[in-house]
Amino acid sequence: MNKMMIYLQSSKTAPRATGDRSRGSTPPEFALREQQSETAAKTARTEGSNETLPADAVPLTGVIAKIKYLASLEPTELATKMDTEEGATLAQVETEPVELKSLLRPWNAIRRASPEQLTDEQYDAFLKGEHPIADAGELYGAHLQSDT
Amino acid sequence: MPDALKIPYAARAMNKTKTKWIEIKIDHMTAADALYWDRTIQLDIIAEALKARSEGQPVPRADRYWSWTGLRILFPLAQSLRKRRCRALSILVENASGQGVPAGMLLLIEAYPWPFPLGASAPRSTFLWFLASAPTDSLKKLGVVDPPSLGRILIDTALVTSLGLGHEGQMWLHAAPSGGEKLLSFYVDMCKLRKMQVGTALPGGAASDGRHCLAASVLAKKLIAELNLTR
Repeated sequence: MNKMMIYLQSSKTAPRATGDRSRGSTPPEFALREQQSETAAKTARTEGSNETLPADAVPLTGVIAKIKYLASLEPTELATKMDTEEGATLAQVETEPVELKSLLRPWNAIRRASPEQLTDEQYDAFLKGEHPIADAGELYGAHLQSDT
Repeated sequence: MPDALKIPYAARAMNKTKTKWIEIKIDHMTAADALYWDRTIQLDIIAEALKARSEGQPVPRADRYWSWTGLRILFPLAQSLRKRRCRALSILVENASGQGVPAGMLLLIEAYPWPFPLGASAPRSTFLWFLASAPTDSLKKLGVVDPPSLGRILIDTALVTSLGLGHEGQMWLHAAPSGGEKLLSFYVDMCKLRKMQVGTALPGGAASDGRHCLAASVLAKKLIAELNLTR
């Protein structure tokens, strides 16, 4: 089955994606944050301390920092930010180039979801961006293979 | 009312002129659905916003800065850190080429505290976090001959989810401030949700700005019953 590659944009302060920015480029703000992170890590190593830093003091950058930031906001607060220009960076991800046609599913292959709770295994698949119901996923695969 | 757990999502919606039923399919949103939306429909939404701004008009939609790919991937991961599950759903319609085109998108938090726990039917509720319906012209460009009207269907989907998850239909949302009175009126007058009073205490400790709308259990079940013909 084809897998769509999604790249999570690095920083909540990263600029909004534009059509001409190549995948994998590093926004200046993120580069700075990476540099700061590396400096902090070196400082921690050279201090020779065996103590573990508290979680809040670990200078995380990139996707994990962004997800932690998103998690720190109450849903209404985050939704209000999504109403502003900041929203464009908060939800920013990059993806591999992909044919638009390949993103659509044949109508007859689409199932209807049930309102019931997903199992833990199904929810794990959902978190990966996949369809949570395994056999429905196979239908997508069949479609993509028949098109290529 | 039939067994709550067996109430399905809507399977059809009226077209824009209310003259014909259009078949729809409500399914779990994949990253591919979200990416398709961002590369097609979202571009039209952005263009519409830019046009309105250039003409000095109010920007018509609250979702002009959204990326559904990011909402679909990042936001559920973030909520996992709060031990909350999200549900992302696509409402799909068939285009002239026999493909399913996303015409509506929802991101819900499945179990979120209910603002009025005293005497409530259930301690939890479903929070309708983000929702969008595609502009009619966008769908036509994508080969959808007769686009459906999805306003009530989007709200119904959240109510049915709440019922299916055991929250007795309790559901609430926040109307984006940029949507102004028009968006609030859509939720209150068209969708028949109740508006929360300004200053009402919210589960997170903040106070409502008067733009939260909700359906308690009795109202939710009434609204769900009103759309039984769509199932």
